[in-house]
Amino acid sequence: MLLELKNISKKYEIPSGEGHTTVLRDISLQIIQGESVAIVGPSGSGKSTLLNIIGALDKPTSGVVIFAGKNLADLDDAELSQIRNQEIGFVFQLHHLLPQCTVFENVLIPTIPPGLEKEDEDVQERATDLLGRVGLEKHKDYFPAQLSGGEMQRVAVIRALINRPKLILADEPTGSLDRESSENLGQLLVKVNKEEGTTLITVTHSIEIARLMDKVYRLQDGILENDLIE
Amino acid sequence: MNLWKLLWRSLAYYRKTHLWVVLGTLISTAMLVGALVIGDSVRHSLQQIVSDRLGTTEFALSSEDRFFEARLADDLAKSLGTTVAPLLQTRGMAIAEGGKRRVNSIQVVGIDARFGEMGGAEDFYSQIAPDEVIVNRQLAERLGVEKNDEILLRFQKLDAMPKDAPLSLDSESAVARRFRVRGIALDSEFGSFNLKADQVIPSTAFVSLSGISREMGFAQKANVLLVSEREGNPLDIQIVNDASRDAWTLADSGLELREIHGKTIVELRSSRIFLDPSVVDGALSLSESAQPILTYFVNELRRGERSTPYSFISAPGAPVVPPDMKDDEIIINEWLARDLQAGAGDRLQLTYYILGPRRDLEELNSDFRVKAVVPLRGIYADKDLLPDFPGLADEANCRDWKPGIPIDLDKIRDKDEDYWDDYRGTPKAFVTLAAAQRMWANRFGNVTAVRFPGLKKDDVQKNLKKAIDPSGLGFIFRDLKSEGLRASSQSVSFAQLFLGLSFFIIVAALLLTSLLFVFNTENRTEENGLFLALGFSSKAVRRLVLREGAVLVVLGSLLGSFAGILYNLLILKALETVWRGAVGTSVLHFHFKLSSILLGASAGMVAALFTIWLVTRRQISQPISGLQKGLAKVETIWKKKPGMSLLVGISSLLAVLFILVVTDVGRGENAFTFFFIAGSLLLVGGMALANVMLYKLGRNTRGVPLSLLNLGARNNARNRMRSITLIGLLACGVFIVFTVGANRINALKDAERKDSGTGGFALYGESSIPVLYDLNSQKGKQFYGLERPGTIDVSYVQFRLKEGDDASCLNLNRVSTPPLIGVDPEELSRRKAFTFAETTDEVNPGNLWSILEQNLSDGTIPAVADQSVIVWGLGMAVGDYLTYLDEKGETFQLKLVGGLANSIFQGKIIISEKAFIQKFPSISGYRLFLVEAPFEKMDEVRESISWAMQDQGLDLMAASTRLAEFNTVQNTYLSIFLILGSFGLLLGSVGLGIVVWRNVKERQGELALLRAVGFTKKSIQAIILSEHIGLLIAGIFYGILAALLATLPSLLTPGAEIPYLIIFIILIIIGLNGTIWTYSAAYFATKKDLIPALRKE
Repeated sequence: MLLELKNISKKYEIPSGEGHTTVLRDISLQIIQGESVAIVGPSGSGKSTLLNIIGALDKPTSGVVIFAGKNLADLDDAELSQIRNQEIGFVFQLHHLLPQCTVFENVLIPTIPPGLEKEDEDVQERATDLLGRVGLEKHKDYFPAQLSGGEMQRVAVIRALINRPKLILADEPTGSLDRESSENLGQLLVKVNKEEGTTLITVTHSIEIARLMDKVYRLQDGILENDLIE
Repeated sequence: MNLWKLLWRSLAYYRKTHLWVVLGTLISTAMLVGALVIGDSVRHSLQQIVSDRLGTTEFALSSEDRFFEARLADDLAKSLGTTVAPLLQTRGMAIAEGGKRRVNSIQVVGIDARFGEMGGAEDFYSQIAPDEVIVNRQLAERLGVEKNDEILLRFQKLDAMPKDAPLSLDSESAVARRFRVRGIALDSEFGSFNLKADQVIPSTAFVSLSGISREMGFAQKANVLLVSEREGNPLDIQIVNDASRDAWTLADSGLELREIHGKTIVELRSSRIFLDPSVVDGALSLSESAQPILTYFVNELRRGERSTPYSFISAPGAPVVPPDMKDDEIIINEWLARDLQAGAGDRLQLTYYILGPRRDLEELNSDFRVKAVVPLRGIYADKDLLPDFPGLADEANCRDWKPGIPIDLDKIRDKDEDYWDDYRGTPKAFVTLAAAQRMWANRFGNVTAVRFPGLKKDDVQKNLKKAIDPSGLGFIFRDLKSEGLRASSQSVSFAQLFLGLSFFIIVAALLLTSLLFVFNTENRTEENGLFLALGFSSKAVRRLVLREGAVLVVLGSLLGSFAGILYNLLILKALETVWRGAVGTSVLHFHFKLSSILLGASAGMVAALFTIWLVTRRQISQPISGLQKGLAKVETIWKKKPGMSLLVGISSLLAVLFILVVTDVGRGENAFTFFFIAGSLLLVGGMALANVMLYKLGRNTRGVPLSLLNLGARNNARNRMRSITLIGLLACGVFIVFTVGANRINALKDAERKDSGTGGFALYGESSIPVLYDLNSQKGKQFYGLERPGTIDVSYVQFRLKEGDDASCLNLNRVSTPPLIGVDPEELSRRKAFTFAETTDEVNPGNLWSILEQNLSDGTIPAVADQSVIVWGLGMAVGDYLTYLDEKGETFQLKLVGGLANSIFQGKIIISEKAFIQKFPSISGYRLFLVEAPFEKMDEVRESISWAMQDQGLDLMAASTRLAEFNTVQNTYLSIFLILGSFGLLLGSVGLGIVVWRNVKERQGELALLRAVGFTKKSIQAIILSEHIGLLIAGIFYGILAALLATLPSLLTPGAEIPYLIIFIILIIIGLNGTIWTYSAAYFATKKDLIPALRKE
């Protein structure tokens, strides 16, 4: 078992101070290593919140997240940072590439946090290899502004993979791409899932992308339920 | 890839925005470094001036009105093994072009080659002929003379006998002589010689020591000794004073021992006629047989209808006066007995003059009973009892007498002439010493000779030298170099001053730095969120941000250090030219200490880094998910209720009300301070309440119809931190500009009021040569020719003056013994002149000036000074003590019992004339004058008095002009502050532009929506403009409101003048500048088509 969510709830205070709104209600979920999961649901249903909680970017109001046997609530900032760096890879709706860095440098960003640095040669070799696998080897010295949207998102996926994470969290990864690029990226994510044995959780609106996953869950009104997509 | 590479990439990519951060740091560092280097430069310049004005002089003795033999310098030089230069220094005036050009209050210095040696210009000063003068550059410029021109010098004739002593002459108080200018001494040629710790170089004429001595009527005398520093084996003050004591002789203090009566008696007398009490004490301690003698000149001896005019009466002691003689008895010689037809048991009346402090003569009588009639021979015919009264003792005939008192020569009969011919000044009668001293003792002494019967002259000489302490006669050296260096090192700190003056720019620049850095960081919120998501700890991300900021700050500080040096050069140039009023000298040299630059640069760096740390700390501490999604709006930080602001606001307003009540709405004591506090509180409270108001506006969504105005107000409320920062920045700037402007003082305004800084006096004057008489008296008016029509309706208040180091704001040195001036306090009291800013509890509020006459419980002498002198010149407070050395070389203390509000007495300490005379009996006459005259005739009066008293070198000026000179310093500082403050405000308004630009950028989608629903670009720009102009107006409004309250007492002060026009213009400039920046930002931010932004949203 790679990930287990137990009775996760998340509430936000209403800024006017008039009570609170519940985004996630008593969610429990178990995901095993190598599994690919899609979470679908309408806008504002709490998909991203759930993903952020899984990725230790946010904390639940109640409930427990157990990742690789560790209760995330028991970990301090440094330990959580280490988990995010070593064991989780993020892919966002927007690529979030650093405009000041080249493609190659962007891929290597997760290898440089203080205390978590990697050997230069190893990571450079892996970065080159991964870029080659997505057809961007020739673009390694390009700056993000010189790439297309699909290319940027592929770089973002490579960046998520650079530290060989156990889990990839993708938050609407194709949300800003055209249809063709979306399909390509979806294929890439699944390919990575299969080839690297990495668990994949993706939040998406796209039925096509969801269909590529092993399991699909629907999040509606803060409640998570199994969804069988025809 | 590593962190450094990432840093470099980020710096390069965001260089445009970073440039502004660098610029902000550059400005704040430049201000800090500049201020510190200005401090270095001014301090170094003052030290340079000490070196210039003293040459190699380390110690100096200045005995002023007492003279010693110039050979003392030779003896001391031998004993100390260094150069010792004798000078004869006096005051005077220089006249050129037949009287067209005249410079009063110059120092006239008699020198020889040794002086040049000490100034490193031996040849320049060697062998000055008696008719040659070397003038310093300052005097040459003021006189407009060149080498070989002829000038007339009129200088005070120094007399051994003080001018206020009884029977001293009132004539010959000055000597006038023509000189040819041999050369013009530059500052580097010891032309800046000055014994006073002052950066302003006095006008000086150097003449030959022997020449000026002769002009004074004695050979090779001096009143100043300069001791040069000794190389290798440094001297200390103790060594110098011990050596001078050894080298000192009786003759050096005008004392003379002579053998009389067939060498059976040794007599000690003084060229000052009256022996100093300390000398008498020393002399009497030598032998029990030593006899003090007092001989005086009486106007008349009368018995009934018969009288004898102008005779000498003596108290010679035994055997002439038997020990059992009573104090009301008199022994008369046979000549007098015959003339008065008097015998033993008859009663005689003595009539004599005593001299008051203003040479006002009082004729007094004393009755005596004749004890015996003695023959006019032997011990009763002692011509030697006659002191060397000037105008009397040396004259061949009685009719040639010219004593310093009025005598009626017609009263002198032939037999009186015969007596003079036969017996000279042989006393005609004898009284007891006690009786004589009761009648004729005065502040100069009560003995005219001491006789040592049966002692040998050499023994007396030797023992007397041991018994008399020359320091009691003012013969004491001062460690002038150390004092000078101390005064310069403790001088007005220009570093602190300019730090204070530049404070607002520094704050504005730092705010600008922080605003820009925050915006830059906000722009990159998602980037920071990404770092967190990718496993960077929040500490690591913060470090990443700070490291980037540090590079910018270090770069800005480095560039700022160079800019600071340039800024310093610019300020020095301004201080030498347009701001010269602040320093009064043009000899400021650029100088810096590496430590100052390092300190300034470090302070700039730390300040900027701290600011950056403060603002980024909040951003990085937001939830990661928010950061990552770019949702880090500042609203989330400021959503909480502004409870603290409400508390601060209400407390501040209550405190303001409390202050208003306590200070009786500006009329109570210390109203200036309290109102400034009240104004500042209002500013702080106003800001706090503005924050509350914005909060309310932002949340007041119910029942308020949506309008453009309401929308604008709510937009300002969206980011209260930014809005309040802007309002606060502008309000502080306006507050500073307004309060500084309001503190400018116009000396001309209300100058006629007695409670103003002029005391209601029309004219102020200082003379080069002392005025001996009361100018209000008939005798005084007559003596000085003040009976001209223009001088009829005027009255004078006269002050005695003991020279010292100027403590006014015109002197940058921190002095410890400012000039003392002595006045009859009643003269100021009855006029209710001047206003006291602060007093001690000892002062009677009903009659403030009377404190000067009071005996304080601690035995100190009460003194009053200008409040600014006390605080800034002396670094003290009312109630503190000043220590002085009196004429006898003994220390005494003054207690500062009152501080005058902005008066013409800046730089000086006022004590009562009585105390002055007690401590400095030898200082004769008055040198400082206040003239009460009709203001409409002021010019006429000034002209008349100046003309009449040109021989005294009286420099008269309108009292308001004098006040204005001091105000110039204060006003110059205020101008500097105003200019630097305004520059800071301009920076603040640039900040406004940046905020507008940022706000607009953030609201692209929202504005695009407005565009989509039909708003034109212009109307959108108008909305943005009106929104931000609101902040601008709020800032200016709060600033003015608080400043008006803070400066309320200033508005009520006499002489205060609010430069409304300047303030108005500055406010308009600030308003326009802010509007332009706002408009530019709004224009450029909305220039592009907004619709795509909407699509992006």
